[in-house]
Amino acid sequence: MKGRIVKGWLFLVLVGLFICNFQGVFAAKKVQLDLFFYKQEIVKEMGELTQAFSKKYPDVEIKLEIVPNESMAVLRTKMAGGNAPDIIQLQSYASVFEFAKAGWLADLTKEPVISKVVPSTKTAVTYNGKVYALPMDVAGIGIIYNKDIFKKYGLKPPTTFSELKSVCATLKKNGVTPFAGLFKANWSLGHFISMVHTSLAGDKLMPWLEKMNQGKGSFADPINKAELFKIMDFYKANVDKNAAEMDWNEQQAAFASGKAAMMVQGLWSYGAAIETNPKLNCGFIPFPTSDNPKENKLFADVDSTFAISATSSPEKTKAAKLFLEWLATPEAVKIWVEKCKLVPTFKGADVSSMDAPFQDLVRYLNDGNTNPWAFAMYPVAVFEDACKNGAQEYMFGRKNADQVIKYIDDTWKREIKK
Amino acid sequence: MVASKKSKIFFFIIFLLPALLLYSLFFIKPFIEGIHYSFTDWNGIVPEIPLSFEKTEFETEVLAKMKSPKHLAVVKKYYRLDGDFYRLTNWISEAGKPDRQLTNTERQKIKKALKTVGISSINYIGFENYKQMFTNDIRFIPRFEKRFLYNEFEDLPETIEAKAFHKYLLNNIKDPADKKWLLTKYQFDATAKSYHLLPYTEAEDERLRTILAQNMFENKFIPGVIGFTLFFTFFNVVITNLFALLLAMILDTKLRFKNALRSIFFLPNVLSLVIVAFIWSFVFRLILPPLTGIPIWLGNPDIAPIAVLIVSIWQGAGYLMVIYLAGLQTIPAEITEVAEVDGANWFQRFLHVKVPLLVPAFTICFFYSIANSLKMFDLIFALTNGGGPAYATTSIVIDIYNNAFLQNQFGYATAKAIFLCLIIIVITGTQLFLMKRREVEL
Repeated sequence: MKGRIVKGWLFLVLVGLFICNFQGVFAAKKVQLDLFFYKQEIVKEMGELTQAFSKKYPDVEIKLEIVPNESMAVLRTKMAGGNAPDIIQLQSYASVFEFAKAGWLADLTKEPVISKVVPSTKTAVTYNGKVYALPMDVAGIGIIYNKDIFKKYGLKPPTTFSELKSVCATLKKNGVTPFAGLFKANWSLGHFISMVHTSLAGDKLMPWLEKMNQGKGSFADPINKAELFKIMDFYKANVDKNAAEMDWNEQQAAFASGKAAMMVQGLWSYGAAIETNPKLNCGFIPFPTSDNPKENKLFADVDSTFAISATSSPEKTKAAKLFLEWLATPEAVKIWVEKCKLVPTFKGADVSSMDAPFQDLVRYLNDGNTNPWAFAMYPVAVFEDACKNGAQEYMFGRKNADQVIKYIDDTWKREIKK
Repeated sequence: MVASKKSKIFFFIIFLLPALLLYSLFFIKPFIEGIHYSFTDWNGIVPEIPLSFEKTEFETEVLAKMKSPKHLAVVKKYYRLDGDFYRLTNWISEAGKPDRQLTNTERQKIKKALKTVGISSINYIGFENYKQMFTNDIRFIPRFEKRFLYNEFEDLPETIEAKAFHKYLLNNIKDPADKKWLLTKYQFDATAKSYHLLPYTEAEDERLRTILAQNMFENKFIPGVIGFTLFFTFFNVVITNLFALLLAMILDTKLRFKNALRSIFFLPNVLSLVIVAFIWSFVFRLILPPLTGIPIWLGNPDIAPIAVLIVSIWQGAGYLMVIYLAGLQTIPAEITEVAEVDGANWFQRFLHVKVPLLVPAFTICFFYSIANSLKMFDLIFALTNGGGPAYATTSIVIDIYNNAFLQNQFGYATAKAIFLCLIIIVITGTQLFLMKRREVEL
């Protein structure tokens, strides 16, 4: 008797499993999209965004996947393994170009949503005259500073390198760390070296990039090498003592708690800092590299973009395009601005509700007082490996200035040969 | 009962043959493919078959050159004109059926057809990858590096040790005037054997800073990826085994809480290495600095390798201890008692009775720890953020990962992996050969 009961149960379980397996067939009407993204500061907010979308279009379901630090590595293995995600969040310029060149991205040139973005942002996603991704947010990298600390010691936000030096000296004298550092992960230092390099290069940047991509020239060409590494030394001498062990969270904590007065970061970090300490009163300025205030422009450009995989099935491609279309609606823009705290690229988007540092960024953008994100235009491996690791190795005394430059040059030459 | 020949064949077909087939499928074949990829410039991102061609390129390079009508038909069937591009129809819609993706056989057909006109995503470059490893990869092999010791934005050092002052600063200054001037600012203190900074003016400050920033450096030996891996392997194998043996011998005695202690020492092995890494990064930041006086552990390129070693030993000793414990318990008590009666003291009993009988355990433990240390990845990856600070704790496997996924050099990374595989085979092979000869049977 007992045996029969057990057998009966087993049978039921098996049938149950079988049915579960085929649920996909029963619910075939529902399109499931995979969305791959790397922005770790908006994990929760992306969930809200896709839920709002699914509410409006109940037959499309979006599955999120976040890979924060090694996103390009994971993406490449996914592509090579033949399961490319349907919607892919890509860093502007080189990442988009690399995947577009290999043919992995769908052509979006004729999609109506592309005409809704600010035209100048399209250069970041246009490869060989075709648009391969939807630019999503504009971000800036510079100094986020604590206005209260500055007020306490009677300091004004620096507009030149000399002023920055004296600000740091005053802060140090009063026992305040000038910069909250982040040396443990290499990406922030990669941004730093490229930011300073771009700022020093000024107008020579674009001709230099063109020359580099022809296999001529060197990273040191448009600038005075000594000046670049002098500023690196300056930064090293003015960060936390244990910056070498600090990751992004700790940098935010040090800045939010008022232990440090400034941090060199992208404005995307502001959200985390304000969450830790809601009373924080911040401003946002460019990192000054020159003693002429007019030459110090904000390092700001298109940051993230959304692309659609060229290998997705037609119905998934259709659904993915629907999602991109929806992102331009006021409802989506509102979530993007208020929850994700990112500056949108859509024409006429309402950003008046954003905090002071974002207003600073928008002001610089409107004045045209910005430098493009040169690092996004370098070949991917040049930035991901040579700049990030090279800058970190310099800071830790493992490579000297000439070796860093040679390493960047060698990597560049290898990359364009492909 | 002796099995008949017939049943032997039966068992071979039932049990061994499937195992052999699976082995060749999952080990031999990938290995041979790996060797094959190590001679190519595969960059990992180019798809196996191009997803699109420019119109003119397709017409001149493919359609015009392709001779065989069979291949031409294949290419024409799957590449359709769309604007200025010929695109691969990746999804095929047939009447009455749901859309389907290209099958593998269809892909192979296209690949074969395109290969006849010389279009393939992977090209052979001979031994180029292996050459690059030793000539053109500055992080891979050990080297000397000029390391500057002073940054002009730091405060000027008040005192410098006499030895360091001469070696790193004075010997590097070329201009004799600078040398002379510097010695007037830094005064030798014979009792402390160091140089002291004398009071200086605002104008002299600038000159002092420049001299120190430009001339104070050392030629430092940087072990590189290979050096770090060998350093890590050597110390990890020796110290872990020593600890494990010691623990096993202590726990083999008649201790009161030995069972509880055995579990405690084995516990680190049960934890996932990633969790271990998180626990230890707290220890290195909050507990060890006040205890030892060394402020930065994981962030210092000189100390981080040692920190990684400590965690690895702590984590690995428990497992090896179990093997040694099992070995010790198989030694019959009579033998040690006989030796005791013969007048052998504790040390003699250990060296001449226990060690020879433990050689099989040594063989296993050494083999296991050598192979594992050479392949170390997860602990370092989680503990030092992927081989940081500044590549100081990058093992060969992490370097392979970086080559492949950060630098798009999949072919080169594969070549390194083959190189690593050879190193492991040679080292563990020698070790097994040497130790097997010393094993004694009771």
